[in-house]
Amino acid sequence: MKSVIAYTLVFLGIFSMNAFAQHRHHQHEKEALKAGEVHADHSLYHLDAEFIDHRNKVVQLSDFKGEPVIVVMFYGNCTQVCPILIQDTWRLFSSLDESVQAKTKVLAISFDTENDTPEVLKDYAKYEQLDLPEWHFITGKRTEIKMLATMLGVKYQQTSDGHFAHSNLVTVLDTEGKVAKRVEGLNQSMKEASAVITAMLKN
Amino acid sequence: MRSQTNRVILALPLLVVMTIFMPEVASSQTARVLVPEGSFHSVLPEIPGEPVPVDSFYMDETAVTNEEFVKFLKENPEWRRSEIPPIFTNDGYLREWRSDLDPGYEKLGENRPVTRVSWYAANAYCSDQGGRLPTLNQWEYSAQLMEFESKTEMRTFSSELINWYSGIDVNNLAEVGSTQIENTEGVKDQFGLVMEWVEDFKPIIADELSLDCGTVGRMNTLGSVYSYAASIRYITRMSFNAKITTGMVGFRCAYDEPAPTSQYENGNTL
Amino acid sequence: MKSAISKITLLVGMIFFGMSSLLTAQTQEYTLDGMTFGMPEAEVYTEDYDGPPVVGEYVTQLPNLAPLDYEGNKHHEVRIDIIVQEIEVAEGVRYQAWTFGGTVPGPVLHVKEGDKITFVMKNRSDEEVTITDPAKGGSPFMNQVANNPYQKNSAAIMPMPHSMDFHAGTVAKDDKWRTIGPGETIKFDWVANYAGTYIYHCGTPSVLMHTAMGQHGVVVVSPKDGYDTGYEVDREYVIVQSEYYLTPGAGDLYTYDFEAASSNNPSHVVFNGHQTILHDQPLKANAGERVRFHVSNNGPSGTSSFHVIGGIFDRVWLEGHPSNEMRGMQTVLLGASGSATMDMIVPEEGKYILIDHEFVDAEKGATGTLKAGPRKK
Ligand SMILES: [Cu+2]
Repeated sequence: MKSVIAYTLVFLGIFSMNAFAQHRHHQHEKEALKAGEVHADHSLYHLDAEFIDHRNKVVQLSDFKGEPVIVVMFYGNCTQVCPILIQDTWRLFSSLDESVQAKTKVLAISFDTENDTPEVLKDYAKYEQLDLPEWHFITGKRTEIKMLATMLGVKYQQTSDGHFAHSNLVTVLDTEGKVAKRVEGLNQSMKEASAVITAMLKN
Repeated sequence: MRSQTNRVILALPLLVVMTIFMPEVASSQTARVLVPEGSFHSVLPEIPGEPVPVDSFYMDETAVTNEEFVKFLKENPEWRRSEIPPIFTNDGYLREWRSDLDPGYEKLGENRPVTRVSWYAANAYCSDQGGRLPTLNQWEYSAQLMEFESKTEMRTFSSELINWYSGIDVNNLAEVGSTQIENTEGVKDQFGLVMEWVEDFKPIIADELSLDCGTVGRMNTLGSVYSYAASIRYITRMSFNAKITTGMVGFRCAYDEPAPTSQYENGNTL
Repeated sequence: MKSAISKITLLVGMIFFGMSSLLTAQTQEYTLDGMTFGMPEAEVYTEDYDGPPVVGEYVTQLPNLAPLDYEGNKHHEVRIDIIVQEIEVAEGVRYQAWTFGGTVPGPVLHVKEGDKITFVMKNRSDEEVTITDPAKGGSPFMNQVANNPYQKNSAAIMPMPHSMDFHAGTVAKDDKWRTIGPGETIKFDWVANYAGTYIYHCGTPSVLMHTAMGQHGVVVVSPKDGYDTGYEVDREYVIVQSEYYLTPGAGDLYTYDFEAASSNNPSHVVFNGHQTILHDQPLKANAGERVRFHVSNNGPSGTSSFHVIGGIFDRVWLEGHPSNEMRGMQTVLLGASGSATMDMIVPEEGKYILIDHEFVDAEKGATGTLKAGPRKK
C-alpha cells in the first residue's frame, strides 16, 4: 500500500506536463461513456454468453448475480498500460474490507481472444499475484467479448503490430448486473467506487 | 517485466483451447465467398497513402435476408422483437415486421435484406452462424475489389455511388443479389442495396476525426473511384451507436473458415 | 499483498496517459464584453417524442418573422426536428429533401441579442412525419405551413445521421454541433451574442450533400437596442437564397446530383426554397412604406448579388449587425452563408423584382416579386 501512495505522489508531480494529453484523452472517455450509456433496467446479465476463466471454468455473467462485480478489460501482451489498469483494479479491490472483498468478484476480461488462452491468463494471474479466489481472468468467443465490451463502453481496436488501442475503464456492476460506477482513465481515485461496493453489501 | 519469449511459449496451447470456442455448425448457410488476402486504401487518415493489408477471410455472398433472420429468431427467442432487452437495441427493432416471427413478406419480401437490426443483433446472428461481423477493413477491402472497363465507367459508378447515399428508398429495398454490383470474387451488393454493420463500425480514430465541411475532402485525397462515397459511408457508419436500428442498415457475416460443407468457394453456389 | 508492477511501467503509463478526469473539457459560463460564453455539455439521448417537429413561440415559416413581444432578454425553448419530406422546388420538380422541420429552408427562428436558447433536436429521418396538419403545441411555423404548404410536402423516410450548426451560436462544435443517428435526440444551450441574420445548417459530412439536400435555415437575432434609424419599419421579411443540385431520378422524383454539386452547377437557384414562390405569393407593401429585408445566402456554394429592380437600399447592415451600416446600396454581395439586413423605401405603387443580379442564378430561379399597393399615409 505504501508503494501505491508513493507512486501517486510521483504522478501528481508530472501531472502538469500532461495537460494536453489528458484533454485529448478525456474526449475518448466521453465517447466511451456515451457508447456505454446505461439505463436502470439495463442489466449486463442479459448477455447470454459462455466465457472461460483462467481456471478453465466456464462462466456466465449471470453466475455473479447477487454479488458486486468489478469488471476491467485488458489484454495480456499489453505491457505498458494494462498492468496499471490491473493495478487500479487491485487498488479498488484491496481498498474493500476483507468481509466485502470475500463477497465481491473481479472479472478481468481479455479482448485478445487469439492469444489470451486460459493458460496464458493463468500465468498472467500468477505473475500479477492475483490468482485469488475472487478473481477471474476471462476469455471467450470474439463476438461475445466484443458485445460485452460494447455494453460496457470499452473500445478496443487491434493495431497492425498486434497490439490494441483501447479504453481504460474499471466498471462496478451492482448485484443485478447494472453499471453502478465507472472509473475512467488510469490511476484514478477508487474511493467512490469502493464506497459504492461497500454500500451495496450493506443493503 | 516479463519477457516476450514467455508470452510466445505460453500462447502455444492456444489451438487446443480454442476448440472450445469452435463455432456450432449452422443449419442453413448462405454462400460463403473466400476473399483472398490483399490490401486497399482506407479513407481513414491513420497512415495516409499506405495501403491497409487484409488477410484472407470468408464472407457471405449476400446480405442476410428477412427469411434468414426469421430462422435465427426461431432458434433464438431472446432476439425476437418482444423479447430483446433494451440494452441491445433502441425501440425501432424490426419495426416494420408484422409480428415476432412474421416480417409480412408481401410488404418486406423473403429475399430482401433484413434491416432495422441493431449491431448487437447482427453480431449475435453472425456468432450463431459460427462467424462474426466483418471488420471495417475487411468489408471495405472486399467492397473495393471491383474491376472497371473504362475511366468513363468508373466515373459514372463513382457518381452513382455518391448519389445513392442521398436517395435510399428504405421502403422499397431490392432483393439481395439483384444490384448487379459484385466484386471480383463474387461478393454481391456491397454497394447499392443497404449499408451494413461491421464489427468495428466506430473505429477508435473516429473520436479524433473532426466532422466538418472539409472532412470529405481530407479523406478523399487519394481521389479513387471509391473514396468520396467511402468517406460518406465511414462518417455515416461511425455516427451510429450499437443500439441504433434503421431502415438503411443491414449486415452480412464473415468467417475465418469455409462453410462446414466447404462446397462454397469463390462464389460457386452449387 | 501484491506489488509486482514496476516503477518504470507506471511512469511510462503516466506520461502517456495522465490522470485524465482531473481536468474537464467543459468551460464554466463566463461573460466577456457583456456577452455570455461557456455552455453546459450537450446531451444526446433517446426519447419517445412524436409531437410537432417544430416547437417555439418565435419560430415561423419564411418569409415571416415573429414579432418579439417581450422586454429584455428571454430564455427560449426551441425544438426543430430533422425529418425527411418529399417537396416541390419548382413546377414538376420534386425530391426527397433532408430538412430541419419539414421545409427547405427550415423555419426562421427570431430571438433578441443576448437571449439564451435551449435547443432540442430529434433525428426523425427514419419516421414519417406529416407537417401539413395543424399541430397542437407546435410553433407558428406549424400553423403557417399547414395553411400554406407551398412546397406540397409529403412525409418520407431516409435515415441518415445529421447535426445542427447554428452560425448564431458561439460554442465548441465537437460538443454542440455533434452528429446524432436516426432516433437520437440532442439538447444544448447557446446564447445569441451577436445581432444579425445567421444561417444554420447540418454539419455532417458531406456537408455539401447535407446542405444541398435541404438542411439549412436562418436565425434572425435582432439587436437589443434595435437599429439606430429614428424610424419604425412597416414590414419585415426574411428571404433565403439557396441552390438545388437535382437531376431526374429513376421514377418521378428528382435526386441529388453529385457531379453538379461538385462543379458548382446548380439546377435551381431559388428564394425561400421554391423557384416561383415569391412570384406566386409576392411580398406585399404599400408605396411610401419602409420594408426591411433580412436576406441570407445559404448556398451551399454560390454567391448572391442581391438587388431589387426599381429600388435602392436606403440602409444596409452587413450580416445584420447594427454597427455595419452602409447607405444607398443598389446591390449587396452575399457570400455563401453571408447575410445582410436591408431597409428600402417602396417608391410607388407597382411591382418590384427581387433578384440575384448574377443573371445565371436569376435565370435558374433566384427572383421574386414585391407588390406595392397605393400610398396609405
Ligand atoms: Cu445532415
